Amino acid sequence: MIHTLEADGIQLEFGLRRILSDVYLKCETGKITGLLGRNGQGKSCLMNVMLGTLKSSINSVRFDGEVIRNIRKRPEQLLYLPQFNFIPKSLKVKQVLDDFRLSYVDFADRFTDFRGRTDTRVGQLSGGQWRTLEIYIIAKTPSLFAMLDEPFTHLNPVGIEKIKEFLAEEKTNKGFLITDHLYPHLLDISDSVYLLTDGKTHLTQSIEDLDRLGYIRL
Amino acid sequence: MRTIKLITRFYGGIFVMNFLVTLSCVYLIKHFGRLAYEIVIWLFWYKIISMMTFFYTSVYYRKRELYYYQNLGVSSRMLVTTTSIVDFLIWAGFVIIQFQIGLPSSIFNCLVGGVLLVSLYLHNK
Repeated sequence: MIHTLEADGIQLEFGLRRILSDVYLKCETGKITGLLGRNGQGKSCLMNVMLGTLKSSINSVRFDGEVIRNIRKRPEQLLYLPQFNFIPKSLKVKQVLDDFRLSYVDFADRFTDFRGRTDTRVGQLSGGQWRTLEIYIIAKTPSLFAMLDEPFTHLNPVGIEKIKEFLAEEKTNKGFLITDHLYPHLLDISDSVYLLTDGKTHLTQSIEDLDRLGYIRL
Repeated sequence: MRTIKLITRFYGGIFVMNFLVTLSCVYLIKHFGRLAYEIVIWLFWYKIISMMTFFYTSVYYRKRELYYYQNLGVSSRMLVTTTSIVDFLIWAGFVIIQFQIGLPSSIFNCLVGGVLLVSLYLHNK
């Protein structure tokens, strides 16, 4: 069964400044939805409104067509990778995987850098390894949807390719909403891409659309 | 079970400071003897204000980590509410014991020493 997560008619203001005014986007299980936008356009705000951690004046977040509130309290429906590191640095790699009921063996098989590092504390990992672990737990933990805010930050080119491969496999288990400034990578793995500009979302069909809407210069 | 483990882990980060406040209350009751009943209300507010300060500071400085707990189904409200209640009950338990039977000095000293050792261990970890 295909599930849908929609954000519709979201309006968000900070004081007199309107950040989001006419937003619509739709994610489906089994697909990766990309969200692009210049700095300060409200991509992270939109994710936080969808999650329920940021209150907006008007919003309608629908899960399978039904309006839902406080989806953040239901990790079995939606998981969130913020753009900053969120795993407590005092925890060990094994502890983190145990918390999310994931197998260390599977993890180390896929990301071989982690072999023999069960007892390494997260704070001792490199920025790229730390990010890899975070992406892994969010993508691998059973849930219907996952939102990833700038997942490719801190990753080297080889690491990015591994993560893209991993996400392409994992999308069979859930739907992803991903935002990142490394748009060629995002375009590679996304089934549909929205561009957020001037508080509105635009469903783009091609890279020329990104040029036309002023996100890139071809 | 996992929720309890996560709440315990969160509480572990602020336990030492809160417990030292509790022990200082016990010490003051011990010090004032019969007059201690007159300062109970002040001890109560001392505990409440210090507890709120520690929890607020902890949430403020660890707000990024709250996403970790959230992704595991434990909201920040649940973390703060549960640990506040547990911490207050520990305080109330020690105050009642002190009023009823009085903690022997040896046990009191052991508790202070134990807490300081735990904080030293956590600091080095």
